[in-house]
Amino acid sequence: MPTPTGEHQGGTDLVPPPREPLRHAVRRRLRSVGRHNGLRHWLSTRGIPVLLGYAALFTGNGFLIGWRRAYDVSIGITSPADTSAPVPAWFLSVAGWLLVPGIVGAVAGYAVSNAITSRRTRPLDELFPEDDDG
Amino acid sequence: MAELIPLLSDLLYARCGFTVPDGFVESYVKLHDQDWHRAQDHWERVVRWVLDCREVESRATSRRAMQQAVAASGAILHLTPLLARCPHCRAGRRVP
Repeated sequence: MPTPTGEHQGGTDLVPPPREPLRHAVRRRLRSVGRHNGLRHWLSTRGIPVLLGYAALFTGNGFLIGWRRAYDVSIGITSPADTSAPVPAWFLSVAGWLLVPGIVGAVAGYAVSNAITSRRTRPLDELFPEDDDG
Repeated sequence: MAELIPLLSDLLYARCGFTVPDGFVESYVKLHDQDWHRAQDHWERVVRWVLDCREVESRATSRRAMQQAVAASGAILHLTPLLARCPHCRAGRRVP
């Protein structure tokens, strides 16, 4: 992280600032997520948490009913009622039905939509790079 | 990293990569009885909130978005008629 430099402006009668604790640094990073835009912001705030939740659900079912069975339930090949632990398997099945196609479809739709709408948005003066020699 | 919400202590430097009103950091920290941790906590909450406001360009991302949010946050905390207030601890007294 680059250290701020230059003249120290004011603050001479303040107590010296303490070192930032690690948990505060992590908190600051999480609070800075709003700097992102569009898909990246959505992935950070919604997409990844949902994905982690689905991964936890799949992993739990994998240990309970077996990995192959969990996979078959998640993609709808096997009914969750035909497993040794139907209750958690039902949650996995519903997630597989609703969440995954919906999210993948939304991301794909966003990517395509973005590509379509960003056509011919480039400004003309980008043709000539800025002259750094002034 | 210039993309994260800056530390208040870093904003005291001329070349910190951000623009805040003169005297803002000093008055904001004093408003919190020189409790740097509490001031930083409330500062981060304000900037996080401003990142979702229209004062930050909708197409701005990362460094540029953070610079705009920090500038707007510093301005509203320091330069509005409600001088030197913190919306999170309702500390409304003027700082000498």
